Amino acid sequence: MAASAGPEIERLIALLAKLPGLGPRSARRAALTLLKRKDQLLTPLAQALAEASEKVVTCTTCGSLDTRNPCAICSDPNRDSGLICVVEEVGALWALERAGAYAGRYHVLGGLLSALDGRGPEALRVEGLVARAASVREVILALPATVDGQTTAHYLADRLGATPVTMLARGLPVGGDIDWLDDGTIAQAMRARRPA
Amino acid sequence: MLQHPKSLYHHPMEFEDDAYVLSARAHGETGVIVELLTQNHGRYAAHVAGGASRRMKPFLQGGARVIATFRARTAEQLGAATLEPVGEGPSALFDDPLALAGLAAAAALTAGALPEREPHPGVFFALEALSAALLHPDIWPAVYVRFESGLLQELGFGLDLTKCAATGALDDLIYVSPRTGRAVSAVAGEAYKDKLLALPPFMLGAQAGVREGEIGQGLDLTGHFLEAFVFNALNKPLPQARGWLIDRLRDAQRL
Repeated sequence: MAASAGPEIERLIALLAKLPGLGPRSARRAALTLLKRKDQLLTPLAQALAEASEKVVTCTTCGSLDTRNPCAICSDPNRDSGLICVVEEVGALWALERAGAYAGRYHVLGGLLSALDGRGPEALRVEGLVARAASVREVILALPATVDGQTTAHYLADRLGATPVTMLARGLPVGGDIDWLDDGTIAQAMRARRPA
Repeated sequence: MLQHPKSLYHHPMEFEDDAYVLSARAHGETGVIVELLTQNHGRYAAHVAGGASRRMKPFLQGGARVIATFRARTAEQLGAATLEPVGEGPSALFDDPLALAGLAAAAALTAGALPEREPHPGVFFALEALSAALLHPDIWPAVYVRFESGLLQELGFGLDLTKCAATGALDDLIYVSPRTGRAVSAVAGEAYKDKLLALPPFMLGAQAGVREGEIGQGLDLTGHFLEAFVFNALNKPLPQARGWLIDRLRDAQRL
């Protein structure tokens, strides 16, 4: 903590230190930068935070975060409403949007089934997905290639019944050298090989 | 020669051992706390620095086989581990939801039942055998039941299925006493059959095939003793992962 700082500054540092990527030391540096550049950084940031806190809501359709409900993606008429891509968290949705390789709609589960943590389907947004899936032509499961991710994918595939369900491919990452990959990824890539 | 006083208090621990990852949970932004079942040292928890990295994430999952190097300054410390993956790991089972459920149940049961830092090489080898069997959908449920039976044995609550507890008969053993875990023959158990647990023949020997309903009987049998003798004593319920496995086997009509 900043020993000679007032309680307001200490509180600012303590809150900044809770953010991902920031520890107490880097939070102190960030706080100092904000305080030094009050007009350029601190005030606009405070306004942006207040605005986000006031306006950002969870989309009741897909579970994403946006300033309107339904969110921009759910209400965009140019997006393919016959496709739903299921992701674990909003971060995965943003990553897919960043890639620009998908133009359908999303469904954010809000977590994964976990036998070890005792997290069951009731803790996830599964029922909403089942209801939405009845009127689409394909559900794409973009869930992590982990034990929990794949367990969740199999569970959802069962629950979605007649709706066609696909999963993202597993294998070589773009730019990946084979000798740097783990055995699991190499084995998955070998099994999922395709005609050249 | 006089010992340095510090050495009386500090017993640095360091070992390298084959291990299975039983669980991994995030610790901070980059670290992970893993629970390992090591071959010669038993169940160990350790901090893995950089465990949340893209390089390490693939094998920091329940059921992954690793070579673990464990270090701690004193025996009381949590300790830190570096892990080197061995083989493909649980990703080989990604396309088989039942096998994934079996792996999760075995990992949760092992993590919940075994005391920490007590060598149980038998459980390690049983988990190794189960991991190999999980690739074969027809046989692994029976191997899983044997794994649970072996876990009971390692914890000192082994089932005695060699002869009838009442008559000493070696044949027709079809029941198990829920109190003692000893086999009971068909004749001796007839009068008490409502109170006895069914003993599926496949648990008596490797040669016996598995018939319909026997996996369920085996899981009822091992589940009873795991709950009564192991988890009740720890004031814990049986792991939820085991219940999910049974549900999935039932849905797939494999019980």
